[in-house]
Amino acid sequence: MPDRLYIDKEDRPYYQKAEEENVINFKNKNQKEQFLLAMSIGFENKQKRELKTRDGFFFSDNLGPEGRTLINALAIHEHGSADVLADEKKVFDIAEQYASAGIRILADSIDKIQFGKFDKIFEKDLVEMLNFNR
Amino acid sequence: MRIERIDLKNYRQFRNVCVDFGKNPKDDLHIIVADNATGKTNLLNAINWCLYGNEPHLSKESEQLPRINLNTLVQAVEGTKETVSVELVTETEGNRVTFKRSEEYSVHEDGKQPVIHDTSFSVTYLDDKKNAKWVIDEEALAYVERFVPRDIREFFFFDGERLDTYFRSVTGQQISNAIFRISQVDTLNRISERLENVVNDLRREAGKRSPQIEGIREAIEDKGKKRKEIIDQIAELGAQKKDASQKIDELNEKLRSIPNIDVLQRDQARLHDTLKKKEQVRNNKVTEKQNTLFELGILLILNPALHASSQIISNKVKNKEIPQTYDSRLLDNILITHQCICTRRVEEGSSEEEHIKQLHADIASSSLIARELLQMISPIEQIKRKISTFKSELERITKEIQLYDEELNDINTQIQSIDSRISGYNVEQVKQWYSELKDYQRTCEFNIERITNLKLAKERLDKEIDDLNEELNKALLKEAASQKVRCQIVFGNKASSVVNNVVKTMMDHVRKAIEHETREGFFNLIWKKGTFKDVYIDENYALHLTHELGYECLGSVSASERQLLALSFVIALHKVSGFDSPILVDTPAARVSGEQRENLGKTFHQISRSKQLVLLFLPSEYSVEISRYLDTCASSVRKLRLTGNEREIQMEVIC
Amino acid sequence: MPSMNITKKISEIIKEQASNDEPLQEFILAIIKWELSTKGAFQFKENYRQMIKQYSSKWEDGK
Repeated sequence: MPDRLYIDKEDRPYYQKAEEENVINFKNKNQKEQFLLAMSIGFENKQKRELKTRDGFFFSDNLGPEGRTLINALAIHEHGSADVLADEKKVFDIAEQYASAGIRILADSIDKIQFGKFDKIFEKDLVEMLNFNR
Repeated sequence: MRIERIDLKNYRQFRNVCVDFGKNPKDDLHIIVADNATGKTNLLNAINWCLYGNEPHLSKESEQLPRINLNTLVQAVEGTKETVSVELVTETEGNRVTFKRSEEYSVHEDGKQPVIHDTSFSVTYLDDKKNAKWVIDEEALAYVERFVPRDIREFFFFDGERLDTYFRSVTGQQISNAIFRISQVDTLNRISERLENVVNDLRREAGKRSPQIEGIREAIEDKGKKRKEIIDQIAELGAQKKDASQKIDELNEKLRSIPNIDVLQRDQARLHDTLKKKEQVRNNKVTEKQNTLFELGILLILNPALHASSQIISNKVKNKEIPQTYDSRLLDNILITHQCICTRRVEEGSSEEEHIKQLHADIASSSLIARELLQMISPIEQIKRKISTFKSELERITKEIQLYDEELNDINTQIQSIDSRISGYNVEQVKQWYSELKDYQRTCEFNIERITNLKLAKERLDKEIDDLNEELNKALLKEAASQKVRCQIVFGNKASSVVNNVVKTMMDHVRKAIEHETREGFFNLIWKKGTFKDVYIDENYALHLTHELGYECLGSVSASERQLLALSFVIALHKVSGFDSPILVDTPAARVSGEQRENLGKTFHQISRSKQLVLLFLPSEYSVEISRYLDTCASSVRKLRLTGNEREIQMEVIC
Repeated sequence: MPSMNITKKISEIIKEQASNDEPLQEFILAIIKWELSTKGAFQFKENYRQMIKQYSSKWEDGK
């Protein structure tokens, strides 16, 4: 297994922006958590982005079982079968690409949404998602 | 006692004026009408100057001028002397007493200030044998004190306009002093003191005959001194307490509709404190919600992927693909030993060996996949559970935040309410008033306690003095030569005791009587009859006026109401005391208007039936409401006007 | 309550306080009368002693 997960060096300012605006307590989350959120937003919007300059973000040991499960599930979904799990690098690549796209989408949303309203909109979207899934 | 006549010579505007106060059979009311600056108030000053040697009602203009009439001054020949005099001829029970004060001036033509050379004051009267007696100095002053004592003259000769401010500045102590003087309780007190003085002398004489008697006498005198000190202390503390009570009433009146700002500010500080704490908790709840959204947001968004993985895992489990059941160690062994399980040899590089190697690699790969998938089972279950509780968890936290928001709103409303109650007031001023109120209340309480202790001490001393008097009496009984003195001492003590008891009883009687008359007079005079409930004089001789609604309101009534109350009080004082001296009032109706003037006129008329009343009106005061009534009953109505370069008064008799 | 003559009221109270003691009553009333009169405002001791002597003697005789 690769020892760390990477972001694009150009992604850093977007992570910083999200921290500055501190939407849904972003600033107080560790980098693994921030990555996973970005990854999930990329997944939700079905967008990926190739990393140009790889920049280590956090150690893979920090993923934990839940984190591991999430990126595996993402890779399986992307690939269409569980075979992708045999290639751990590929699994991480998929996660990193979704995260890279996702953090940009997040930063963009922060810009577009009126100050202070992000959390409410995020909550509304999640509740709709929950109701839809039921 | 009444004034028959006032003769003024060269006294200010009164160059040579005689004001006769002959009375008609029914009334002794005299009206003098004059414009301002005519000399009306100087008539009041003339009486004061004659009796007391000073002029308390001088205008600023008059203060600059010499007492001597200006025309006399201007027309005087160089080096001559001119006399200013005021002679007050009074009559009491058929006896005539004349008070005369004069000043001799030497005048100069060169415009220098006239110089006073000689002043004199004398009283002439007829003795029992109808012989004319003439007294000066202290004896003459004593006569004045019998006529109208100096320290209470403001109850007899007063400026009606100033009466308005009377009850603002005068204290209960001054009123009680006035009452004591007027009601002759002061005479009784003086008698008591003098009796004690004389009895002490008698004891001293007796003491000269025997050391034992002298010893007892000294002890009585000592204790007497201590008793006097205690009485003085009680009086002083009582006066302080009265002042403090008055101040308390004034402050309570001021603060009646003002909230206790100190208390409100403390409440506000407490609310701010609570607000801060609740805001902190609320913010923590908001963070908790954000964390929930963050964490569960990730899971919810990735749920489709998790669901798909879950399906795959389920299928593989169903198909028994996971967990894997074949053992790769078997293949390892074949590759190492080059011998198949069927014992056939597996040659190196053979297709069989390649096949086994491929199989081995596939197994290795699927083991990794299987392991990963197996490790996903438990987390997926946990995630499903988390997602299932997401909505209820969110609702719970949202509700809690809402409740805190409501509480914070409520607290903010309370803070704003206090703000608006406080705003508009000079906060520092109000706080100062409350602080002063507390101080005065403390003073009152402290003084009450001290007075109680002092009264107990006085009672003890009274008992000790009584015991010593008893002892002295016994000692004197043993001395044959001292029997007469003993008898006089015992008699003197008895008399002193009776007089003291009379004083106590009289003070209470007089206070209640004055209170009754003041109340009657005031409610008779006042126009707004439904506004006030009661007038009373407390045992400290402070005058109180209570509103219909029950609160003390002397400090906040209008000037005319206060004037009416003051007038009622003065008239009550005269009525009750029976003190037989005239009343002279300058501008008596200045602050009174309309129906009240008519009532005032009637009251004046009523008073004048039993007491001489001289009223000095401005023309604007002597309006038709009052003149139509008084013109018909007054003994005299005169008008003053200035002539002779406006330096001399001429009196015109109207009726 | 009618308006009262102070001196009269004082006399009444003196009679109450010194009941059955005429010399004492008379003495006090005499002293009051003397005080209220226009004479002898300051030379009180002589007069007081004289009156005490006079009335105490009467008082003792009456006992």
